[in-house]
Amino acid sequence: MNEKLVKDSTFVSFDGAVELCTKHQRPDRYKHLEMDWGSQPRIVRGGGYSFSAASFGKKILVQEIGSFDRFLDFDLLHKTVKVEAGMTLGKLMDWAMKQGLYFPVLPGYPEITIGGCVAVDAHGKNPWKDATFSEWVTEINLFHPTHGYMPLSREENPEAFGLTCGGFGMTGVIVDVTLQLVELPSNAFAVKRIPVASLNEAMRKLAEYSDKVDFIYSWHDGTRRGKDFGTGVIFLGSWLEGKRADIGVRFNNKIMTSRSRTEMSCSLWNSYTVKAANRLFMAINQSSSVGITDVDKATFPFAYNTLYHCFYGRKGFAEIQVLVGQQVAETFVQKLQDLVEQYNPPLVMISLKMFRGKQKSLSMAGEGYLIALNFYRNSKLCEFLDRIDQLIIETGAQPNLSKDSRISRAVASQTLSNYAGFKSRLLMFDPLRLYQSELSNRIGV
Amino acid sequence: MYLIVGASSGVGRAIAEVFAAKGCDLLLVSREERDTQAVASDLMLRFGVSVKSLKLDLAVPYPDFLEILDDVRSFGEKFKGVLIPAGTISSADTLDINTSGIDGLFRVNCLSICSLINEILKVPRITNVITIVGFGSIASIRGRGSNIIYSAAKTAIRFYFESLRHACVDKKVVVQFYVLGYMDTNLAFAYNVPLPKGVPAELAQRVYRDIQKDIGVNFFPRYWLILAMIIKLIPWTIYKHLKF
Repeated sequence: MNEKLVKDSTFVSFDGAVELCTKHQRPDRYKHLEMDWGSQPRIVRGGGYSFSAASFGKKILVQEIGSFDRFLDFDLLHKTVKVEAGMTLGKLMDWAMKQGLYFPVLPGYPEITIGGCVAVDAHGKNPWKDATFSEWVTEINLFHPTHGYMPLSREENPEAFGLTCGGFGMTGVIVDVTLQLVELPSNAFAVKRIPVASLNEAMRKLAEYSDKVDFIYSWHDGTRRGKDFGTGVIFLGSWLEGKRADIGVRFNNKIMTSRSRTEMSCSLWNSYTVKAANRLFMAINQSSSVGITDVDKATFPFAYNTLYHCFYGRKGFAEIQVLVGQQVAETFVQKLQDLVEQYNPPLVMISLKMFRGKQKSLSMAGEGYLIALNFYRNSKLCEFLDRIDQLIIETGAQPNLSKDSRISRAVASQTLSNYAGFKSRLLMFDPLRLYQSELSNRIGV
Repeated sequence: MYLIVGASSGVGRAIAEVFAAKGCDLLLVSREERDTQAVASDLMLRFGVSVKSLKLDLAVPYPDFLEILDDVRSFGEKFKGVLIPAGTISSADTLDINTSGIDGLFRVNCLSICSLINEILKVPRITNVITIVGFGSIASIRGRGSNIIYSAAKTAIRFYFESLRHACVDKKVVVQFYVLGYMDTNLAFAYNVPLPKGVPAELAQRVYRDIQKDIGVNFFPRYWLILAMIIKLIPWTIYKHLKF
């Protein structure tokens, strides 16, 4: 082992909440992945876009696998492609679209890696229709020092496959992944906007349209209170029929990282700027006319809107995303509104989607509404979030660990349906628990 | 077709990517067979070029170039040249390094490269001009107390390329040599240097742009040309106290 391959680096979670210095390796050959680190805890890092500290931790060796970003195999007949886990979604889509293919489950930023998507079992813009990322994974090649290279699929090593999809990198190094692609229907989406007056109205619309359109989510002004709480707009997108000659797909190459996001020393978001920006956003999107958006812009909206996250500055932001069952959704929303009225937290926006997931790991599983809340940080926030945790427990909702850097062991164990099972199965798979992170230590896995 | 030796990672991989993107067929060679195969698959799928990968360990005594030379021969007039961004360093490369360590460093960084080039030049050609591109290091600017054997080998290979260029003046062979500063590869990953590291993809673009030009010795990043002159001018009484 050449000790020069490791240095000390400082990592920061995308939301800015966790920052620490630890050992850092950047493997660029298979033999580097296989280096003997003894019992040293380690974790793989992809793009580092998880809002929580899932890819680093105190005294944990970070193995950054961005160099593993190659296409390994392509089966035209079955439309499957085998890629290394460090490949970004943008690189995959750039290539796939040239072949007339598409991947249905894409989170909003193109620099997120395939391995990262498997590890958190990411979702796209219509998880109700397309389910989660792992549903489109046919095979994984996993490396673990004890087990060596292991092919994982629903047929081969299904137990380890289930642990790895949504296992937050705790089973080992996801080396390569085989993905099921679909035919690219068009190069553009028709996007419709429907203004809504409340979260309940949005939920009704989501239930009505989620089966019928290709992407759907809502946005709500977080500064509204009283009868205006939940005022917002629903975005519905459907593939256009045929290819539009006047739409050129251009890939945005501007890269925002968890580090570059924190470049502004202070936050530009405060009660005045958020209110003004939200009113402006609402005014722009008030019209219910149908717009045409190129596929890249519709797929990776945050690549075209990096200022939103950058404006949070070094202080960062907080996001909570919870899966709420359909039966209790209205109760949850009412109680959420009560808490917002009571604590007046620095809420920027709320977003809703319908969700369907069936993993048996730490990612959200089941059906319901995905409710996301974004906040800038101030002194009122912590107490409010503690109350939200209680609400999550009371209503049987499930938090998204990749979005929230505070989730404690107590909350995780009471809310994630597979928590105990995952923990015991992981311990059987890896008694040494070599792959750890700030997140895994915080939630006690 | 270009032959790229050391194409599994770093500068070699970046060069392979740029050349494939420009439509060049490639023969990729490195000690790390799995990595080179992965690079070859990637380039074929992305750029639709023909890419073959072979295993070659420059560290072994008298490496077997037979298969490589067969491929070079079979390409005939389509063989355009060889690029050798191969090299290795060792943390044991101090005054305490043993004989086998010295041997290994010299083979990878100099001896095997000279042997391969000499063998390639023996392959008969009729009309085509070929380019031979070597890669050295700023470690060869002036001797210092670390990476002792590596620096010596890189100095030797630079000298070999200068001789090669002179010897090939009338032989339809373009000889180029790049002296590389700290590059953003694993080799220099752990070194915190005050100057910006060179980007392999930018170097690769430059190598492709100038591949047929008689440019001789080049520094990359370019500012190392100035730094090299300054380092050479530092009086020994000062230089001996510098730690780098």
